[in-house]
Amino acid sequence: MTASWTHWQRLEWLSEDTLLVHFPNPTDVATAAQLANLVQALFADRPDWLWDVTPGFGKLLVHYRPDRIDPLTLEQALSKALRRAVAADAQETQSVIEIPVCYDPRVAPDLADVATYADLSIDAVVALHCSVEYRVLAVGFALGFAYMGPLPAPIQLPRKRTPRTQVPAGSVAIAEAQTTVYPIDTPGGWHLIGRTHQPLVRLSDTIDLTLPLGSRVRFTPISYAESLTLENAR
Amino acid sequence: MSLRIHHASPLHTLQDWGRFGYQSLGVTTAGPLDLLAFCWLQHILGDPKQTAAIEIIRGGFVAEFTQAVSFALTGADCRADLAGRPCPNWITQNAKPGDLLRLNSPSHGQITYLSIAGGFDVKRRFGSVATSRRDQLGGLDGDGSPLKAGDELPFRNPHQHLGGVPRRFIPNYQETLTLRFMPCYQAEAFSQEGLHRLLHEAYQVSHDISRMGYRLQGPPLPDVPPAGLSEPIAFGSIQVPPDGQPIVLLRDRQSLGGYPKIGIVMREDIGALCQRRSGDPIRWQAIHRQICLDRFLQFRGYFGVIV
Repeated sequence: MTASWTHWQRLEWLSEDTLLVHFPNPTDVATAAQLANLVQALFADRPDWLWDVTPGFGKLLVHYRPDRIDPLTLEQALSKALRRAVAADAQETQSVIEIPVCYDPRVAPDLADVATYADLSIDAVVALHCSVEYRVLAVGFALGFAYMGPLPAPIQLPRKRTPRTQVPAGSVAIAEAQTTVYPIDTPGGWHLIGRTHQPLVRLSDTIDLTLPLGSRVRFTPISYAESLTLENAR
Repeated sequence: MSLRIHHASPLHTLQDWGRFGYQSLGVTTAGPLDLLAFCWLQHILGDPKQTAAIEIIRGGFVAEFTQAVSFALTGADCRADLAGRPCPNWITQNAKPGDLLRLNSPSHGQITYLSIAGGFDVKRRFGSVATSRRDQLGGLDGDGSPLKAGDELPFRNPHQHLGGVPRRFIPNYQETLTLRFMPCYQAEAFSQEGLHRLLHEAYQVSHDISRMGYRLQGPPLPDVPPAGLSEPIAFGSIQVPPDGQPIVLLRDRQSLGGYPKIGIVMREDIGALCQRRSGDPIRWQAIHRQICLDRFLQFRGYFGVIV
């Protein structure tokens, strides 16, 4: 994966203690990988001026302590972290995460509608969804919610006009140029085309995400019977 | 050695400064809605460090002290009584074993904080006890549940302490609030007419308010720019969905969102907004970031707080 950028486009000082860093090519897979490295590089030294960072689609929100660092020093620290992130990116060797998905209509309430909208057979929609390797382009909205893309063009469609008040955890969904797996039961406006038994968040002493920012993901279809077996084995 | 809860609502939660360092995973920070009332509480209890308080929204809380300890209430006045005697806010009180503390509904304001001298002994989850129902993190059991009848909050280092907030610093939640905000994010994509309307028309707090965000109601902003790619959302961001009614995003906000944002509310006005109730009038005023930053540094210098 080649670097998507080596410097930011602009710095936007937002509120009293936040800075928004803008990078080019927000939906590039390389940008996502580089943002993930940048987050790591920033947290590596646990600097006392840094509260938190939120990466998302070519932007990085830096929540810092204005009583501990002045704007110029902050820019320099960012530059340094960015150089490290770009160097780390060149050596990236990440394996592909496989997510088994059951596309049976019993757990895929919107699959038929998507097929109608795309003027494709249900099998063709499933085949397309499984045909490419995705990248986690952003993590957010909810804990462990991964925005993955890019989705093959023939199955891209706008979000549902009226969001569901409750989407069950494990639902595999698509909207616009992206796909996701709902990590928790939550309201949501994406089209539900399948279900996975794979847990997305493991909480122990650490928070481990199955689909962290920048990771490579592939969906593999399984039958309803197989999904029940796997579900029961959990 | 504890505070035994006799009655609580789902709006009563344990909060500390918040959970930081996990927003890149989509974890919300949680933390107190009214930072000023929260800080005064820690201050008069003599404990400016990272301790938890009970955030009581809209009153209706009853608890029993099983051991003698000093405690205090700040924020909205719930006409509390301790063992039948009036128990004013903003000043420490001493409880005896068996004393019952009763909070009614507040007549003004919404949010009251309660803690004890020496703090509650609650296990942190990822660096914080702040309750996030969304993420199922924090609180007494660590799973994001609110407080409920039967819960016992153990005392860490209970002691007597004397402190109070000088009268001139006690906020008046009945005053019409002017929300000062720093234009940023997509501010320039809004039309002049939209900004003019926001600054000159009367708004009020709607019924759609939660720890995630407060929706305001007023003349809808015209020409709202279209939603874009999801982007990181800072605390206090003013999001404007297509209906043109601004929403101020708070402690339990989503970490990313695509609706356009016209600016960010000045930190000290965010808590003041949270104390306003549905129907209360709100005015808007644009303000320069440097002024907000100076106030913010002053605030931190005084309270010695970390967030």
